[in-house]
Amino acid sequence: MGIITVVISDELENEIRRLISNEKTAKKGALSKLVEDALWAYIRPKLYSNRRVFKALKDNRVVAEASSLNELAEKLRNAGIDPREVKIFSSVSYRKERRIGLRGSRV
Amino acid sequence: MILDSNAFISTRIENPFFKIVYPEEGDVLALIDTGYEGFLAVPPDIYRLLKLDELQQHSLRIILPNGETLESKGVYATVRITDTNASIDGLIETFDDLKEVIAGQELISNFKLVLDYCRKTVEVRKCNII
Repeated sequence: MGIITVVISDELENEIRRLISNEKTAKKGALSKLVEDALWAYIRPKLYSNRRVFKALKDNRVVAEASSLNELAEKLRNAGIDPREVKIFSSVSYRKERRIGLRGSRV
Repeated sequence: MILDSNAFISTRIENPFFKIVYPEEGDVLALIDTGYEGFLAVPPDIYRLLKLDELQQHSLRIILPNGETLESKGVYATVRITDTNASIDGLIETFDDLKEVIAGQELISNFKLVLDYCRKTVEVRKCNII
C-alpha cells in the first residue's frame, strides 16, 4: 500500500469528513477508500481512452494495428494492403444489437 | 442548431481508408438521438458515397421501439464535429429506409452538449476529463 501526503482546502476536508461521518457504515479506512475511488474515477477514463486500439485482420491474422483509424489507414497504405482485404476491429467492443428511438415501459 | 424542435450537430464524415469526406464542402447535420445506442447511422446513399460499403462489414441489428428488428451493417470510420474540430472514430452503420444522419449515444458521450431552445442553438464541447 502506498502512502501519499497531499494538501487540500479546509472546505474540501470538512466536506469529506462530514460525508464519511454521515455514512452509516463509516469505519476505519473510509477516507482512504474514498480517495482511492475518487482517483480511480479520475484516471480510468484516461487509461481507457488511451488504450483503444484498432486492428486490421486479414485471414484471421493481424496485419496492422494503431490507436486511430487515420494511423491504421496510413499503415495499410505503407504496407501496400488494400483496405478491402481486411476487416477492422476495435479493442472497445460494440453492441451487436442497438436500440433506436423513444422507448417506454408500462408502470 | 435546433430545427423544428430537433437538435442537430454539424459533422463531416470521413472514410480514412479511401480519404473520402462527406460532404466534400460544408457540413452535414446529424440529428442528436439520445435513444439511439450506436455511434452514427447514415442513409445508404451516403454510406455508398463514402465507399464504406466496399470495406468488410460488421453485421448488426437495430431494435425499434415496438420491438421489431432491422438488419444493419457497419464499418469503422471517423466523424469530425465541426464546431469543436474534434474527430472521433467509431462504428458507422446504415440500414434500409434511413433518411437522416443520426448521432447516437456512443458519439455524443464524448461531448458536453448544451441545448438552448430559446436561441435555437446547440453548443458542443469536447469532454474535459476531470
